[in-house]
Amino acid sequence: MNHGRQIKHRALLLVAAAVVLTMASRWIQAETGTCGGLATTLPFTDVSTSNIFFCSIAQAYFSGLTNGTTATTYSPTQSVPREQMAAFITRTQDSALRRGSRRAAAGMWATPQHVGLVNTTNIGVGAFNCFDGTDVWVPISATGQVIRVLTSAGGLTPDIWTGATSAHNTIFAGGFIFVTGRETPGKIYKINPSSGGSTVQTVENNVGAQPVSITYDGLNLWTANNGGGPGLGSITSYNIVTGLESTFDIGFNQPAGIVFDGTHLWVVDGGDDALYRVNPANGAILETIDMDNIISDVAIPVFDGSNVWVPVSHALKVVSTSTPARLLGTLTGNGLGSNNLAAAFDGERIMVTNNSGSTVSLWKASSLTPLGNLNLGVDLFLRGVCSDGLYFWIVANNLAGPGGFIMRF
Amino acid sequence: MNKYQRIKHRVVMLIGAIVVLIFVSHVMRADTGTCGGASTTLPFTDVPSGNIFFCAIAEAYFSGLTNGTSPTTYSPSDTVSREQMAAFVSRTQDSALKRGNRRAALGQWWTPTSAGVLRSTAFAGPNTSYDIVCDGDDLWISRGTEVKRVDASDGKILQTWTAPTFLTAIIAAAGRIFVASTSGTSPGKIYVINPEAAPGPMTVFEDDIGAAPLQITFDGTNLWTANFTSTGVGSISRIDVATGIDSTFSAGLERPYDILWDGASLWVADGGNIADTGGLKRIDPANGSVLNHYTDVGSSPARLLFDGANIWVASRINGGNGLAVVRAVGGLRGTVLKLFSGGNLNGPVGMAFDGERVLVCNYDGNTVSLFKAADLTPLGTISTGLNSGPWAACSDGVNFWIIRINNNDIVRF
Repeated sequence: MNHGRQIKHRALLLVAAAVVLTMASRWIQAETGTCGGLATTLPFTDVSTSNIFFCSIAQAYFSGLTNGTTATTYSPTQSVPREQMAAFITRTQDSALRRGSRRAAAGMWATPQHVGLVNTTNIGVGAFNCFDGTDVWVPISATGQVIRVLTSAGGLTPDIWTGATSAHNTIFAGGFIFVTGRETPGKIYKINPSSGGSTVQTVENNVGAQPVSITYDGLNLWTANNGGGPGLGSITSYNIVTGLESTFDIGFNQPAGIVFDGTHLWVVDGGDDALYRVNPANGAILETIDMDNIISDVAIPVFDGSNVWVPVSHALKVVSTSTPARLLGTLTGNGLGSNNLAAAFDGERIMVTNNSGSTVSLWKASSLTPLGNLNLGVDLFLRGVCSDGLYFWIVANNLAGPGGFIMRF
Repeated sequence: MNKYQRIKHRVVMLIGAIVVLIFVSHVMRADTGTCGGASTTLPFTDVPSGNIFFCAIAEAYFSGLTNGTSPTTYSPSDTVSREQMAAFVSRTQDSALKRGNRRAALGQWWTPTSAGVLRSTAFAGPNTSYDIVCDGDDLWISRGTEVKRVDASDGKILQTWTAPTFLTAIIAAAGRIFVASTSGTSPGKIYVINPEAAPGPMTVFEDDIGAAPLQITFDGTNLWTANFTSTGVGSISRIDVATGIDSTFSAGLERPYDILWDGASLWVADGGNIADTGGLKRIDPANGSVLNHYTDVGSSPARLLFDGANIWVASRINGGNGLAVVRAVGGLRGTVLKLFSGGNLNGPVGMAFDGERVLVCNYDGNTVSLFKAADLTPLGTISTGLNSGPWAACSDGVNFWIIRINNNDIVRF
């Protein structure tokens, strides 16, 4: 090869290399398309702008629903195995719940890490509270009062209802507040929240003995009646239109909690160490899920849209409401103690009160994983808890100290 | 094989069987891994704890998004068919909506089953309630020549605002309450309420829009009214909330009963002069012209509702007694997805959406019908009371609130 040919050969090689480099850079460059009228760049070199799913892939990437198959590839035509699908849908659910929460709109991404950050309001020795969409209602057993707490300010309203002897548990149903009177026989009190503080109306005085928990099925209130001892318990339905009540004791031993899931009732029976699925049409037990260590006095369950969470001694049981029901997990640690009393759900998280440990524990409802716990003080004897979608509201009682108060978490 | 060899052989076989059994039991047992620092057990024997998707599969199982391919298998390497994909994504959507709803945080998993459980807020005076809206905190009801403000927490009447002419549609927009008003064939009006102010006579915001405005919507800049008129030459009016400049458009419109902004498109329910000329019309907000006319939505559509994907069209007038669901967005825009008729529907008028469910007021049947918005399935029909006349509804995200014209009240549902 003479000198001229060598130069020509090198020039050709250079041109070829330039072409290859240009092509390669074109192939591996991040793609930029238009989504919603805006230039959108993806790091994936295998998703062309002409792909009709370009903007969907961009949204999934930007929302954290996918990270691609590598840092620079999405592999758009590959099939999705079921294991990857599980990741896709759980990330989607988590993202929707997290972003759709009222806490997101309020920018409340933090969880209190110190008791000093938990707002408290003195109310007296309270029991099991509820939320009506605006305010929180707390029954005060010793005085027979029912206190209305403003959630926006954490302060009390001037409206205090009286005459609710042994007021124990509350529910907002049909536009009214209903309160159980933990007596034998049990009672149900009614409050018209627009009437201002006055004396509660006793609408039923023949409920099964010691009603400790209450729920609603769209027509009837249902109470779980502890009975005061083994074998004495029952559940009672109270029709809020007609005022008719019926008490069912067949198969029940010592009910400690009750919740309605939209179709069935779920009764926590401390005497039988069982969770019962109950037909709301006739109070009959349809299914029994064996449990252990249920606290025989009070154990307030909560439904999260899929599963029922049952606080038991030293653990938290999660039961799928599918048919047949399945025990999904027995959760321990994370601040749970020997006397876990009540659970609440805020749309994303479950909170459980540990009565003797003065601790609340948080769990991610979708994965049953622990989110941490916080000790709220010494000898606070935590009882009820409810959510307003923004905060959890916890009833605490320090009998040897300042008395009872409600805490905003 | 002598006796000793046979015994030896059997012992070897027995040990082998035990080894196989131990191996099989190990392989077949449910797997336990660690997710979020907690020990997690799955019933699936084919998802080892070392699978990087172990926790995602656990979460999908615990959330009810999947039950596996059998009680003990998940088949993690199987590909997902499009039919399975539909099940996965629709369950995921359902779960997110169900848990993310404010009713979940309140533990309100019930649906009222009888008129008797509907707590009422009664009004004094003539039973002229027309429309109801929730501003995120309180309820506002237009009725005759007054507007009532009601506390959505306890149903207490908080304020009364007044106007000299008959009030129709009401909307919460731009931090204020706007109320349309009609007076025969005279130009329509819009009044405005500043929620911070003390109650009293309302301020006129606009006094020369098309006659007989029956419904109102807001596109972020402009209020839009559907002006019915009794002459059959109806119109729509556009009013810039910032400047007060208004325009009225009538081309292609006959009897607009309702108007709706879905975030991208403006829609009009046009009852038509005769049944055949009515329909659902998509409007160009730039000039008020009709872009599309869909006639297969039922006879004389009168009320509209948007659920984030679809428009629900109720038809009660001109013998119409139906409910159509029309795709509002994407490539299938304008496609009728479902046409309900008869059954428990009986005079469908006002509707409301709570993020998960659509409630339809059956004025003639004295009932409300509930539908699951995601799959259009009926959830039941519930009486609102004998001759109660449910006419309009709104949702505060927790409860539906229903105007019962004949009972002269509103009820929380």
